[in-house]
Amino acid sequence: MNEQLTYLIQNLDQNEYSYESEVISNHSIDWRKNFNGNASIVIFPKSVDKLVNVIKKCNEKKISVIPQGGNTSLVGGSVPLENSKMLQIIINFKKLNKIINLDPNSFSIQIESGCILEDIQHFLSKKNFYFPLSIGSRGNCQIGGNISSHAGGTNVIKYGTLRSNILGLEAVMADGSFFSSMKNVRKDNTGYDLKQLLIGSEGTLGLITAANIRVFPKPLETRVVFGTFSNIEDLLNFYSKIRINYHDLLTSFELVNSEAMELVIQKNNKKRILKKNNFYCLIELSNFTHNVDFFGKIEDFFFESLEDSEDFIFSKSYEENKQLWDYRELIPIAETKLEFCINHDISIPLDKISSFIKKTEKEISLIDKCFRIINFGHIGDNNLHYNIFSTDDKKNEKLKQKQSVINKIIFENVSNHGGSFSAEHGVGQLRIDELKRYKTSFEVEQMRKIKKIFDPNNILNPNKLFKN
Amino acid sequence: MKALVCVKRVIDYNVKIRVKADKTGVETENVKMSMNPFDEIAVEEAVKMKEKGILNEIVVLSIGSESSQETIRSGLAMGGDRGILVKTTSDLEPLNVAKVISKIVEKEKPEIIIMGKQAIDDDSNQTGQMLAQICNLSQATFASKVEKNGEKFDVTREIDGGLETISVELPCIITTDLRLNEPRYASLPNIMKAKQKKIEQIDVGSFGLNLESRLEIIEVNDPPERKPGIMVQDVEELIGKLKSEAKVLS
Ligand SMILES: Cc1cc2nc3c(=O)[nH]c(=O)nc-3n(C[C@H](O)[C@H](O)[C@H](O)COP(=O)(O)OP(=O)(O)OC[C@H]3O[C@@H](n4cnc5c(N)ncnc54)[C@H](O)[C@@H]3O)c2cc1C
Repeated sequence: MNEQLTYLIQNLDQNEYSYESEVISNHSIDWRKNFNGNASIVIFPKSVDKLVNVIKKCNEKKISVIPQGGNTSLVGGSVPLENSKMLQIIINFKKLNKIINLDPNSFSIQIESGCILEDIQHFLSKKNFYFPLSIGSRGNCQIGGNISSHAGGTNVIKYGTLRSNILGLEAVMADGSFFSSMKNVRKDNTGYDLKQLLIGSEGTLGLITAANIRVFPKPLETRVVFGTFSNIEDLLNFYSKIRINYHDLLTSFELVNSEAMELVIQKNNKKRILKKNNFYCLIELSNFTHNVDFFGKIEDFFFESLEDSEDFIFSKSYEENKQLWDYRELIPIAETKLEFCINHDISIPLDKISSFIKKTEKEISLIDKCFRIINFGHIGDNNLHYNIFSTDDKKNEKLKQKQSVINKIIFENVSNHGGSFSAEHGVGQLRIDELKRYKTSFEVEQMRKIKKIFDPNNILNPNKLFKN
Repeated sequence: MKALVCVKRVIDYNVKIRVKADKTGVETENVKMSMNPFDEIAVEEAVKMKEKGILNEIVVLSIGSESSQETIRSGLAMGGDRGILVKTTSDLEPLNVAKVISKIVEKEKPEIIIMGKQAIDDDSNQTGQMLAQICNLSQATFASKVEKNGEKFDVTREIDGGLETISVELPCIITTDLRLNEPRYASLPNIMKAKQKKIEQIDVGSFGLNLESRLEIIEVNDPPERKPGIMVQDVEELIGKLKSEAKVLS
């Protein structure tokens, strides 16, 4: 083994690292299999002390550190680079996975960063609490990865962004110093709030080791409504109506367009349960208080507000909740069964979504009428997953060739409609050019300066976010 | 032809059950309740029969508290025509449930009674059979397929190691198994229609039945907690543990 590696692992237990090629390659390729880098070793630190020890040595020897959670990043953020001149190591947090403390009185939970999101959800559910984050990859992703990529998901609409729910953070910085800001308080106006910089920094400023996060009371009952609309304006108008009437009892409002629905039906063998239409929406409402006939009143409200309620289903049980959610959550899985697909995760202000969709769809279909859009996502948060595929597999080559033209159409339209080119998946390796192009030069310059201050040797996830 | 479909309000299948601190039962306060999944299958089967023209009326019956009306409404939203709620605040054991249903059978005279083979709360799997005895009706339990054949029903039953098809005369009781059908979702217009449908309320006391419990619950306990798995380093350690701890090798 390389001398530097021997030095790195000196203080580690045998089960805290692996340089078997199979382990390394599993950890070096991203979820979508678009980025495949090479690392020399994967380290699974069991304690913060061990991590500090490794990072100090990396800083000293200028070894690149790739922080990794569940490796579900969709922008190539969690894997090593393909052609790096520096030695690259992966630090995976899966062994730093203790639930430290649930404080039921102040509604907060302290957890280590390697805790799997779904494990946290189950832990809390047993104690009648609810975690304010839920995303499709919950069975794999880790809270440290969620914080570093500032994950969004299906219930931002109710609980706010993850950032707004993080009370405290702990992290190991590039020089091995330990940053701790875990005060269990809501208010703390004492100068610059450094933890805010770490949230969403994609592993480029520090390695998150623990967090203190707000939790919420578990709803008494949750129901899912699944329905169709023939046009996006009606769907958005209906969203506004529910929002006004039920505001924070609305726990999700998701969009699924016709192509996305057909894909799930085909690729995942799901039954068609609603008449074919242009748009579908999945609405989740929750009862938190002891309102009598809460859902009865909601049914009345839906019936009165909808022009055509024929194709609306109300779930009767939690089993049906799960079955209905499948139609939304299986879309990314169904997409992986496509030969080729161009992925986008964008946000557009609510009042511009309809104009954006119409304009962009038209421009893309002009390139080839086989190029269609799988459009789904957390429309309540103005967030669209906007992916282009070809209905004819023979045109996949052409789609690949046209990728940059298509991306340009999308990004220009996003920018002109006042949106963001990456709503929740982040920048990673995939959106480096767009960051440079669509953020102001002032912002980019300040970001670079911040990176220099926190990580002067550029060892933490180098060449992610921007080329260093 | 008229069908009586029996539905029970139970703790939702997906809710993690918690035993009460005093061990007298399970926690039902603030817990999501739904229709017993086997009963949902029973409603679906009746609605299908009605769609095929075999039935012309579906009566949905539940025995329970005021809130069981919600469960009946679910059945009506799936396609039931009217409901009957027999009100009681006590937990009836299967024999008593069968006795109560028998009174409704006397009153309604349905040609066919469809119900779940069991309820997922106590898993008794007794009511259908007991009711058949009390009312002296033919019975086809654990149905996975039901077909009308002249004046009879051919019912395929799930039995140990295979399937058995029997023919039953009317009036009869059919208890449903999981594979019989896939219950439909309730559409909003049907939910709204269900709100207008009649639910007759009858007090359980009005039957003059002796509903004393013969069964006494002494204590309810959680199942023993499963020990977490362990990771072994290599095959040797695995074989060692299989011998020394699991004792499946010698
Ligand atoms: C099926 C599917 C559905 C998804 N749905 C959503 C969704 O609805 N909303 C959404 O926002 N995202 C979604 N994602 C994207 C992804 O799951 C999230 O970005 C998630 O938060 C990443 O968590 P992870 O633990 O897998 O992190 P990784 O992918 O391992 O890493 C993500 C980034 O964080 C860094 N990082 C990881 N752990 C640490 C740490 N402890 N300290 C410092 N840096 C760290 C990595 O270097 C990388 O830059 C989805 C992905 C999939 C595959």
